[in-house]
Parts: sequence; C-alpha cells; structure tokens
Amino acid sequence: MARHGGPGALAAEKHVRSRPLGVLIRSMFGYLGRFRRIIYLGACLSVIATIFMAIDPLVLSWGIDLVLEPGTEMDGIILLALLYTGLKIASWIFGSINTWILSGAQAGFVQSLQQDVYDRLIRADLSYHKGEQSGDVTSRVTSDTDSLAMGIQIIIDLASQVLLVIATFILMWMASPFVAMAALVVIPVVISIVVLFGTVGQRIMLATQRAAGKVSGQIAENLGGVHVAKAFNREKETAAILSELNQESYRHGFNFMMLMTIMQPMVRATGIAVMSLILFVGGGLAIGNDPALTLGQVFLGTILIQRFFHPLLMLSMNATMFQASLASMDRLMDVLETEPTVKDTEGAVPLRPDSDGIEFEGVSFSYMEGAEVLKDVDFRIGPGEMVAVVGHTGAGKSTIAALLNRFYDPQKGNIKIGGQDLRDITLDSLHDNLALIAQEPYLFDGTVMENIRYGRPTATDDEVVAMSKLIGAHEFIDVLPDGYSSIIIEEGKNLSAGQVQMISIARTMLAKPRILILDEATSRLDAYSESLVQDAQDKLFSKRTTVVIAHRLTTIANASKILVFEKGSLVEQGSHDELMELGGRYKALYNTYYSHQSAGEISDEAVKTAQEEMAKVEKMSQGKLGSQKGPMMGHGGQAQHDKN
Amino acid sequence: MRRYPGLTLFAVGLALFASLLTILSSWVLGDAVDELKFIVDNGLELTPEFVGLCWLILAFALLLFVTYIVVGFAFAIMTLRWERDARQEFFEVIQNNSMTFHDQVDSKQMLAVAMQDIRWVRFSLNPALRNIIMAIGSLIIASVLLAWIDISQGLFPILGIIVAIGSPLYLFFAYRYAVAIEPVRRVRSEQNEKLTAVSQEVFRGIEVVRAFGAEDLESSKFRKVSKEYERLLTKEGRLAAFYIPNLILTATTAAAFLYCANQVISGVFPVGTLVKAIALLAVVDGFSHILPRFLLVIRGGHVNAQRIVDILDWADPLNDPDSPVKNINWTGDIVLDNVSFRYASGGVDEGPYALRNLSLTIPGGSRVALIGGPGSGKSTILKLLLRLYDPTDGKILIGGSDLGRVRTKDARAAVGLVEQNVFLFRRSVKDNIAFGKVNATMDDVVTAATRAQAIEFINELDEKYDTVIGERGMTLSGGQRQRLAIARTLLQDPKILLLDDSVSAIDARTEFHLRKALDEVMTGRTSITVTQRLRTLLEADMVIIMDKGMVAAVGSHEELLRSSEHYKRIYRRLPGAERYFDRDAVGRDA
Repeated sequence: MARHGGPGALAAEKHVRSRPLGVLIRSMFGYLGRFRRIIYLGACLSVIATIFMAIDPLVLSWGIDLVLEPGTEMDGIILLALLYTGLKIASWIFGSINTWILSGAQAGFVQSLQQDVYDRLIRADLSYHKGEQSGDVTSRVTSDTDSLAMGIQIIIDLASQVLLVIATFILMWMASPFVAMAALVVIPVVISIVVLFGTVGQRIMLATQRAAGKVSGQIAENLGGVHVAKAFNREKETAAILSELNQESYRHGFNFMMLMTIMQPMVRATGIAVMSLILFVGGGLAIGNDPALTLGQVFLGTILIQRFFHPLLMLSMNATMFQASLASMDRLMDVLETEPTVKDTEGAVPLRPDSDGIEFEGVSFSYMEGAEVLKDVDFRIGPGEMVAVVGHTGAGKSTIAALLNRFYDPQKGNIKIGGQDLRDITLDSLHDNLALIAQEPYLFDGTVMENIRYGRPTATDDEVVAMSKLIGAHEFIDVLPDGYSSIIIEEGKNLSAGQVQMISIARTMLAKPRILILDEATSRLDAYSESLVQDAQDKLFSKRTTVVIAHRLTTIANASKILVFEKGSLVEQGSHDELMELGGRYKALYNTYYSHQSAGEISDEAVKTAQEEMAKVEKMSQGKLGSQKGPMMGHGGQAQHDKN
Repeated sequence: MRRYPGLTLFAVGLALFASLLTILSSWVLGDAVDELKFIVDNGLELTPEFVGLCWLILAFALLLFVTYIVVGFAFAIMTLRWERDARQEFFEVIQNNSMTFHDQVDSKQMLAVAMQDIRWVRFSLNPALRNIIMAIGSLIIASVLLAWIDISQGLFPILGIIVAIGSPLYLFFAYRYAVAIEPVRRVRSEQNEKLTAVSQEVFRGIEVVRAFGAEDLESSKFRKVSKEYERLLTKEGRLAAFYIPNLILTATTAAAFLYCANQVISGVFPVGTLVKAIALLAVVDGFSHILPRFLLVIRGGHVNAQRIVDILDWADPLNDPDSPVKNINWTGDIVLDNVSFRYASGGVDEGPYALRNLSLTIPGGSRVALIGGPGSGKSTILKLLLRLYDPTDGKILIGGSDLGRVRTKDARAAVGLVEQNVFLFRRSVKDNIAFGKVNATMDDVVTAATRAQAIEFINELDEKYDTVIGERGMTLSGGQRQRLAIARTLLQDPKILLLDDSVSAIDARTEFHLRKALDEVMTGRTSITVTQRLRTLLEADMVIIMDKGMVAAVGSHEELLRSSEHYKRIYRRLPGAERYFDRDAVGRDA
C-alpha cells in the first residue's frame, strides 16, 4: 500500500493540550538544561541592543530641533551624527553577538532535545509504536523539537519586543501625552489583523494544508501503483484524478495567498495612515504661542509610531505561534515522561550461557484490555528442541514470538528461558541470544550487504557472502545491478517479495542466535528456495532451540513437537503421529490446511472437503456471520473435526 | 510567467507604482514639515495646505492598499497557476517514463520534488520576486529622489553621490550574504530530510531494531546525523549576525543627515528637506530586513528548478516507435529470439545480465508454466512481454510482429498481468476491479468478481463493493487480493495472460477458489504462469525452467520428469514432499 502524506502533513491540526500553561512554560525552560545560562545571556544582549535602538530616533529629532535654532554651529550637529552612528553601531554589535551566541545555543538545544526524544522513542514500548503512524512518531523528533526551539526564540524576542513597545510609548508620552494617546489608534488595527488571522486565516490555512496533503497522498499512491496504471493503460485516468485534487489545492492555496497578500498592505497602509494622523495631531500641538511640541518632536512622533506599531503586531502574531510551541511541548512531554514498561528490571542479569529451552507458565496476554490473545498458556520446549506452532489466523501464534522477544510483557504468568524469568534477563543479552525472522520482512534503505550485516555488525563481507550462499540467496544477489552493493529502496520495491524475505533470513541467520524463532519465515519463497533455507536451518540450528510458526507441511513434519493453538488457547500438543492418532483439532487442521499442499490426488480430496465446508460457511454467513475477517476457516475446521 | 506576458508586465509596473506611493508619502511628510514651520514661524493656525498634505498622505495610504492588493492578486493568479500546472505536468511526465526510471528513483524523492521543490520555485516567484521588485524599486526611487534634491536646486549633487556610493554597496553586501548563506541553507535542509528519513525508517522497522538489540547502534547513527544538522544550523544562524548592509545604511543616513543639516544651517535647504532625506532612508531601512531573505529564496529557487529539470530530462530508453506496427496477431506464437536483458543500475557500471541469449517459442493459445529460483529471470520475462522494458539485445516476436515496434499502449491492452504482490489502490473494491476496463459498468464488475471467485468474500465485507481498501485497517488476505487482481484482469480481457502466482500457504478452500478462478481466466488465451502449484505444472502444455537468466529445460511435465535432472530436483522439493507421504510415486525415483 502506498504511504500517505508526508510526516506532519496535517501536523497543524488543532491539538488539545493536556497540561496547564504554567507547567508547560516551566518545563520549556527546564529542558533548556545546560543551555540556560547562554540563552539568558543572549536575552540580556538583545535587551541592550533594543535600548540603543529605542533611542536613536530621539537623536535625529534633536538634530532637527538643533538646526532650527538660530546660530547653531556644525559642531553640535557633528556630535549628534556621531552619537547616532555610535548608537546604531552599538545596537548592531550587541544584536549580532546575540545572534551569534544564540544560533549555537539554539542548534545545540534542538540537537540535544532531538536526541533525548529519539532515544526515548527507540526504547518506547512496542505497544506505543503499534498505536502510532511512523510518520507521526518521526514528527515528534523533527517538527516538534523545531517548534519548541521556535517557542524559545519567541520568548527571547518577547523581552526585547515588549521593551521596545514600552520604551517607545514612554518616549511618545514624554514628547506629548496627546501623541501617545493618538498612537493607541493602531491597537484596533492590530487586534483586527490578529483576529482575522486567528479565525478565518486559521481555517483557510488548515484547508490549504489538507488539500495539499491530498495531492501529496495521491501522487504517492499513483507512484506506488505506476506499474499497474501502465499495465492497464490507465495513466490518463490517474492523471485526471490528480488534476482534480490539484485544482482543489490551487483554489485553497489561492485563498491563503490572498489572505497573506492582504496582510502586507494592511500593515503598510496603516503605517502610512497613522503617520498622517500623528502629523495632523502633532501639527496642531506645535503651533500657537506656547507650543507643546517642537518640529523635531512632530517628526519624532511619525517615526516612533512605526516603532510602536510593528513590534506590537509581531507580539500578537507570535502569540499564535507560541500556542503551537506549547502544543509541541505537550506532545514532547508525553514522550519524555512516559517510562517504558518493558525495560531492564533492577538486578537483571545477562542470560546464562547454560540457559536454554523455553517455558510458558500460565501466560495470558492481551494487546488491548478485554481482548485476550493468549489465555493461560502452558508449555515447555526442551533445550535444542524444534517445535512447530500451528493454528488458524488469529489463534495467537505470532503473539508467542512477540512475547519471547519481550516486545511485550504478559499480564499474567511467566515466561522462562532455562529457568531464568524473561523479566530478570537484560534485554541486550536476550536479543543477542534470541532472534526472530518476522512474518513481514522489513529491510532498511541501504545496500544488501549492510542489511544482512545488521544481524551481526562485526561480520566480514566474506561471512555475509558465505551465509547468502548457504541459504541460496547469493545467486540472485550476485545478479542484481550492483551485486551486494545494490541499494535497497523503499523497503525493497526493486526486489521481489521472495528476495526481500531471503535477505531478512540471511540477516537473522548471520546473527547465529542460540534460540531461533521463525514466524512463517518462508511464506513468500518458492518451494525450491524454501528447501534450501530449510537445509541451511538444519545445518546451523539443528542443535539449537527453534520455534517455528508453521505454514507448510514440511515444517510440521520435521518438528519434534507440535503445539496446536485455537483462539488463544493451547488445545493440543504432541508429535505429528500422536496428534493424528488423537483425531482432534490437529487432524482437522491438517486435513484442510496442510495436506492439499502435497501431491495432486490429495488435493482433490481436500477440495472436496473444502467444497463441503464452503457450503456450510455460506449457509452460516447468510444467517449472521457477516464478519469482516473474511473466509478464514475456523468454523470449517471445527466442522470437519466433528465429522471425523 | 512567460505564458502571461501582459499580466506580468502589468503586475511588475503596478508593484513599482506601489513602491513609489510608499516613497512619496515620506516626501510629502517633508513638505508638511516645511508648511508647519511656516505656520509656526508666522504664528498662524493650521493652514488648509497643511491639512491638505495630511489628507494627501492618507490618500496615498488608501491607494497603496488597493494597488498592493491588485498586485498580490495578479501575482497569486500567475504563480499559483504555474505551480498547479507544473506539478501536474511533472507527474504526467514521470508517470509516462518507463519502469526503468521507476526502478531507480525513490518515489519519496519524486514526491519531494513534486511537492516541495515546485513549491519553492513558486515561492521564489511569489512572494520573493514580488517583494524584491518592490524593495529594489524603492531603493532606486529613493536614490533618484535624493539626488534630485540637489539637482533641482542647481547644486552639486552631494546627496546623489552619497546614495550612488551607498546603494550599490548596500545591494552588493546583501547579495553577497544571500550567496554565502544559500549553499548552507540547502545543505541544511537536505540534512533535515536525512534526519527525517533516518528516524522514520527506524520507527517503521522498530521490531527489527528491537529484535537485534540495535538501539544503541541506531542511537549513535542518529547522533551523527543530528550533530551535523546542529553544525549546519549554527553556521546558517551565525551568517546572519554582523549583517553589513545595515552598517552601510547607517553610514548613508548619518552622511545625508550631516550634509542636509549643514545646508539647513546655511539656509540653502528648508528643514523639510532634512526630514525628507531621513524619512526616505527610513523607508529603505524598512525593506532592508526582507531583502536578504528573499534574495536567498530566489537563489534557492534556482537550485530547486535545476532538480526538477534534472528529473524531467531523464532520457527514456523505451520509446514508442515512429511507425508502429498495427493489426498484430496477438494469439499467434510468442517467439523470444536470442533475447538478453540487463536492468540499468543507478551507477555508472552496467549491471549483470538478468536474461542471457534466451531463445524460446511459445505456441499461441498454450498454457505455459514458468519455474525457477529468485533471480532466475522469470519475472523479467513477464515484464518484457508487457513491454515495460525493451530487451537489451535480441527481439521478441508476437504473431510475427516485433514487440519493439508496437506501441506500449497496444501491447498493454493485449497483454494482461496478475502480479505476485498485488497492488490495490486506496479506492473501493468496485473501483479496483473496474480499473481493468474503461467505463466498466456495475454489471461488468459483478460478473468479473463472480468469475474470479471473489464475490463471496466481497459480500462479507461491511460495505460490499463500496468498501475502501486500506481504510480503517481494512486489509485483505493474499488470496483475496489475488482474486481481486484476477477479476481486474478478466475485465481487461487480454489476449496474452501473464500470471505471477507465487502465493503459497493457503488453506484448501482458498486454493479451491483460486484454482477455479485461474481456470476461468486462462481459458481461451495464451497464458504464462510463474508458479509452484503442482496442479499448474501438471496441466501446463509447456513447462519452462529458468536458471540464472537462461533456459535450463523446456517440455511437458512428463517429458521433463524423464529428461531433466534439474526438474526432478525441483519437483522433489515441491511442497507436500513425497518424503513423508507415499501417495505420489513419481517423485520417488528421482
């Protein structure tokens, strides 16, 4: 299936914060950690730069008043020019040092936060990862940390912006309270801009992002299925569907851009309009016998009003962005404050070299509360034994593999390896000694060589090649365009399903685990390749404990013991012959699920059985059985068994 | 932009007009101060002239507002349309590229170009170019007006000289900053993509990481990438410090102030001229923050455009023939005449051959079974017959016509494929089946689903034919997906059917259904099936064994059992394995 949207395509969706404002802001500063001092220093520098910046127009206005005084010498003017230049340069230097220091601190802060979040996520419970899209998890590491850094920046800017607004207002007030009062006229403009963007703007922005996300998702899907579109000559149709979404995205994008376009002239035109207003008010105050204002102050007013208006606007716009940062902080705290439940317990020891064999003692497990996947399961696998696990889809087979890897801990009961409880074994040593070939093979982007070596990072090239030869993967790897250096892209879209599975098998076998678990590990291989893999397994793991979740007859036949699962319970166990003798669920399962894999004549028999079952299931589904799970054959098998 | 030359000219002109309005309001401010001085000096009330000037500035503000919006509107239409059409065109071009292209290029990368790069190019036109036109326009207009102050009074243009030195220097340093920061910014955003890719990949494969206990390894890999990101982020941030254009602007303002103040004291200039000079330079200052940012975007846009062009320029080795063969006898014999093929690799070296000197004749209407290990070339044969690729050497003849001279469209109408990993679109079941035929009716779909044995499980789905695949965890089993693919192909009704049937491990009932579906779809056409299904081998008119890109043996099941060691070896390994059951005597003697 194609993946949809980029990470965070809809990240701007409204997020309900679960923590109070104070807690979030406090912890935001808490995470500054070792960067706290340097960031405070930066904030101080920024305030100093702002103070210099606030008074430089004052110097210009003095200059204007000075030149109007009769008998002024150039000396005074030169002094003022020097003062102006000095203030500007000082402000420039302090501002620049601040930028210089903060760039490093901020980048460092982002990095350490990213690392913390990443380390936390990589060790988070698998139940967390199962419940989240990998794209969303990634955006915790990337966009949320960025957004938090932005929040810090906003807080630093806040100090200087507030200072600038207040200082400017005071300067205006000192010149004339009337001018200062007149300047307040910009406040409704600021409010209306902020409201416009907070309501309509927010809506338009979300709609725009959503429309763009749809286009992106459609392109992703079309590219994923490009071979199908080609094979059926339907390129025109896929293009037409995209065109429609693209037009929709254009419409929303246009609205959004017009909104942004209106914002700019509103700000500029307001700036000029208030200049005219201050000129008028100031003019009125500058005349008469006892003028309240000098000409220089009138001019000062027209400049100061801009310095009042712009930071005020920035402050309010930043408030919206700060909200987003808080939401990010909230999500990050969710991650950082969640302790994984599966972790090394205190006093956990490495797996002892003599520990082998597996025991399940009264194990019950559910992924979600109320839906038990395993119910009170008891079994014992001797050291070096090869055991097959069989059962219908949903019987809980893969869960056994997951529990053995300690991806989860059971709610009830104990799992032991050689008498050591899984929870008392360090995770590192467990994973060093036990390896799983999963049902859904997953390969990383990288070369074939790198992917196989993932099983044992210290393995040499020769060892990788030898392993590939052993399981029969070398032949196809060798003829890939770049052999072992061929790059695997998109989890192996340039390989066949069987090839992907072969590489994942080579990877696990290279790890040479003491205990091997195969979860339908060869389901995508052709029979011949499968038999080669089986030979390799016999050779490498014949004396090691092996658990095989079986989908083929051949595996069952090789097992020293077969565990039969049904709906989470272990219903039968024993050797193939014993279980056939028993004539229970295994026999029924065998007849419907495995025996037809054999030669032709048996198949016909199986087909006949299947036909009968089908009729039964159909009858049932006409009644009430509209299950979405589809035609798996739990009931059919049962029926067969009853008949026998 | 080139598509709307009139509109472009109009929009640029209007943008310059908007700059002029901004500048003029500062100019009028100077006049107003002069008027005010006149009033103050003469002890008058506010004159109508002064009030008029205030109104004039207000009018400028309103006019500016309107002009700005019109400019924005024109630019929005032009550039967003460009973005929309470029994206559509980009997709259509890469979709039409042959599979050689899609094998090599990561679809994530193509998606990034289609969405991000095209957006950045648009961004460099609007708002970047629009704002730069206005900023530079303002700078030039302000400079000309400042020069005009002296010239209009017949003086030596000192102010003109000050701005003539200041402006180019200012622009030069602003541009230099953009040039310095652009590569850093680019590398930084690439590194950001890498960071995303690294973490997404690990979270996607978290079970593998966990199972091999590779958390520390992955953590240190991530540290490397994120440390590099930190370095670039710091570098980019620090380049913004000590931004020289601001100093130049300060120097220019101070110089202009000194000169004008001197002239005012000497009684040459009215005080308003001093105000004009300072206010004009303040307007330039207002633009000075956005100028470098947008210069940067424009330079970056050039790089983005290059990435787009690079992908679009890909030379497709598979082209439709100039004089295509028509009226092909698709039911005729399929002849592979000394065919060799190798996949193009991303690198410079050419890869090894996937098929080598393959010569085969498949009689029209026959059922062919194709077997062999991974990498033996089975699927390559299917892809060549679908003309997803052309052979590197040799040719394929169908009914006597060279497939290389057939239009891909015709080839794909006549040849149908049921793939191994069935790809279904995120659409309804009905739409997925109907994908096989343009304008398929509901009746067509139901008939095809029935023939493909898919109707039973479709009826069990919550919304039957309207169930959207892939939505809300709606997944289908391998056997179900395959039957949907068969239904899709039945609707297409191809003359030659290619079937990659490597699905194994299915229960008897599914097997039963599939077998019926396969019988149905194979009837009346040439079929080539990649298989390991015993039944298919037994029923095939012809079995071809592939090994390392070559034909190892050809013949019927019985013939091969007698003559081919290779076949016997494979047959013995087929599931069911007479090793445990004595029912099949044939395999035992091997």
